[in-house]
Amino acid sequence: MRLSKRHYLILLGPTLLILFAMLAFPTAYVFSISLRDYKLTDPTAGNPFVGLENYKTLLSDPEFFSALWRSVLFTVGSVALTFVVGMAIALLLNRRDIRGTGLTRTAILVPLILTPLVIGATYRFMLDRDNGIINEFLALVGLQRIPFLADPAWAMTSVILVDVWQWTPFAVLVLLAGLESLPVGPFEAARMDGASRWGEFWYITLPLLAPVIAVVLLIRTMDAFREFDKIFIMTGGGPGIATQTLPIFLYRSGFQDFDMGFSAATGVVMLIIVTVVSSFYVRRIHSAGE
Amino acid sequence: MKKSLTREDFLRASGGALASVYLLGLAGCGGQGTSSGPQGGPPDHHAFEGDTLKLLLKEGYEIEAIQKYKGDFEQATGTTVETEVYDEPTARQKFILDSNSKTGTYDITSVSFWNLPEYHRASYLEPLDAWIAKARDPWLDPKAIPKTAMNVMSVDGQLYALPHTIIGGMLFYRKDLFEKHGIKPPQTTADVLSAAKKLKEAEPSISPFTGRGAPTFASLGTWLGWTWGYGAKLYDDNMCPHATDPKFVQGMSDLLTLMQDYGPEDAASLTFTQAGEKFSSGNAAMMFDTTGFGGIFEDPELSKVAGKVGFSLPKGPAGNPLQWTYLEGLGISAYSQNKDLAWLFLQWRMSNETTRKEALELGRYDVPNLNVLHSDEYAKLTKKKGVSDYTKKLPQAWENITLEHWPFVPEFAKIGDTFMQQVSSAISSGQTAEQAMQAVQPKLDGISKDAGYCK
Repeated sequence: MRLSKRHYLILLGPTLLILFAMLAFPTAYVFSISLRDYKLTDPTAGNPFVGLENYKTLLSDPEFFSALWRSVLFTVGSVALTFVVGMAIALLLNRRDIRGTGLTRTAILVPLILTPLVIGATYRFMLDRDNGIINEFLALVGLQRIPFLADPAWAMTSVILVDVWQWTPFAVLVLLAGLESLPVGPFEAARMDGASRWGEFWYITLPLLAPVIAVVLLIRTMDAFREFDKIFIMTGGGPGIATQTLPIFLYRSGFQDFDMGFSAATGVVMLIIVTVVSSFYVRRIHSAGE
Repeated sequence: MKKSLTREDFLRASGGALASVYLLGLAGCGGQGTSSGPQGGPPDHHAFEGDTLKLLLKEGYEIEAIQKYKGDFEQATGTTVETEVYDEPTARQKFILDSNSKTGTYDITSVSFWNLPEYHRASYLEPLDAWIAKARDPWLDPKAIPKTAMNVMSVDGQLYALPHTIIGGMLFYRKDLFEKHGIKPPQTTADVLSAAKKLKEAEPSISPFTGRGAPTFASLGTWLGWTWGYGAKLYDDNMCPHATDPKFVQGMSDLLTLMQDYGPEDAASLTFTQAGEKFSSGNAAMMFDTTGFGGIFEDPELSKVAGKVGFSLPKGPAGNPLQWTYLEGLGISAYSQNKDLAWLFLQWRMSNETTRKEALELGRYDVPNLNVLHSDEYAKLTKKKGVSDYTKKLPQAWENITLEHWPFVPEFAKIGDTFMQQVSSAISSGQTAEQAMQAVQPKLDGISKDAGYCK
């Protein structure tokens, strides 16, 4: 039986309705707030309509651009490292001649099941200059203690590495599934033609795995760009504003200054950025699929 | 003779009942809260039997007494007291969101003095003067609470929170190290700098100084209180910022030197607990912070340096004593449905009985009840515990308290965050005070302009 448009509508209707309620309405509401001077702690002001004033203020605020730059730095650093380390581990686990891969596959999932808050708090203690286990170890081997979370460069590096630690298992899982589903034929043919291991990886594995890689990069980019919990717990955006990424900038205006109009405008701009970057990845996935 | 109800009787009766419920509902929705308001005479302790009071509290040693002794209040009144405890930003967020939705989830909230202007502008809190005048219970002796505290917890002459915490500025120093190296107890900011220099050479394994450097408004008191010693204020009376004022820059420069050159390597990220931990663990020789730390540093269970701590109230070049003003109390939500009971609880909290137990059993030496502080029991306790040096300095530190240097406005948190982000950056990057203050001045100008100040 061939389904008509009406059937499709009936079948998809409930899902579309839920999607609308869960996504479209809140988005539209956030956008409408972004057009108002809406300060939660000043109820007498009456939330007047101010048009694009919040966007104007946001786009003329140097702190917004420095937070955006830090978000880009964090995202690129975290996604690139997650991918490289994840791919290396996935390739290792994909080899049949290495023992203990089954246990490793299970153990590697631990960071994924921990909540970001717990991870952030744990690493904050571990990276403490005076009492952290990492500095204790450095001191034990005669090295200088490092103020991991109080030095601007170290603070950004630390939060990136902790994010990589948490999300590498995700990359491993997806890439490993991709590797295991690759056809055997091209590899056998390459080996018969005398291709090196590197040549096999570069000219066969990577192109065949491109759609899976794009999915990993897409999900990780979106996730890293909106990362909040771990950074907030570990550094609170500091020292100074050295780790103040866009989500922390938004949190400060929204939940510390309670400037809902301004923070909604920040949220809308973030949404646009994530949508543009995601569209790029999605196009890549489609083209790779074709 | 029994009369059976007709359909009309039933409709009439149920219609009337519905109308009553509707009117009651309307009454409930009208205005803020449904309490009867302050009535003549003290409330009957058993008038609220079966009621439940919900408290939103900020974490800290100040609330220990509530958690430990609330059973006494429940027993005395036949009520139930439920508490929710959060860190300060979360408690503030919860109270603001609850007040905006006008649900009145919380009857009582912790109130930090710096949030008062914000809560006052939004009418989130019940003014307490009328309650004190008309419905005072023998539990409360308003004269026993230091007047400074009552004044600071007031806006436009109206009291909004009953203070349970008064904190002033104090310099803590390791008297054993000072004696060992022949350094005199610091009486001025210049003494602090000179002692730091000597200690850096004499005790290279520890930091000569520690204080708050984290980029949050909770650190602001350290820096504004220090610069007040130089006769400098960040804001004038019109809320125009003067970060680049030479006196202010001088004060900032000295404290920045202490944090950059004589402070711990992670000074730029130190919150009050982390800074205090540096001192209590013996990793720092001096700390400028709130008087609240005195009891902690002298408690052998919490501090490795108990018995080795000296206490000083240094002055700056202008002769002003250094400040670390902080007051906290309990306020009643304007949307509470249990204002009478909430008011009774506030009075119980500050009663002689509760504060006496707090001081004697919990060892809270800075409880702001003069009846307790002037008692023989308290004097004996402080002597026995060896904290007399600290408790003798407390009244002076409280007397020093002023708000002259403080931006007592609803935008305080934004000002504090912005200022401290710059300071924290300066500590970690080695920026000079001049550079840091020049960088922060336009940002503070922007905040003042947006808020409509400094016209």
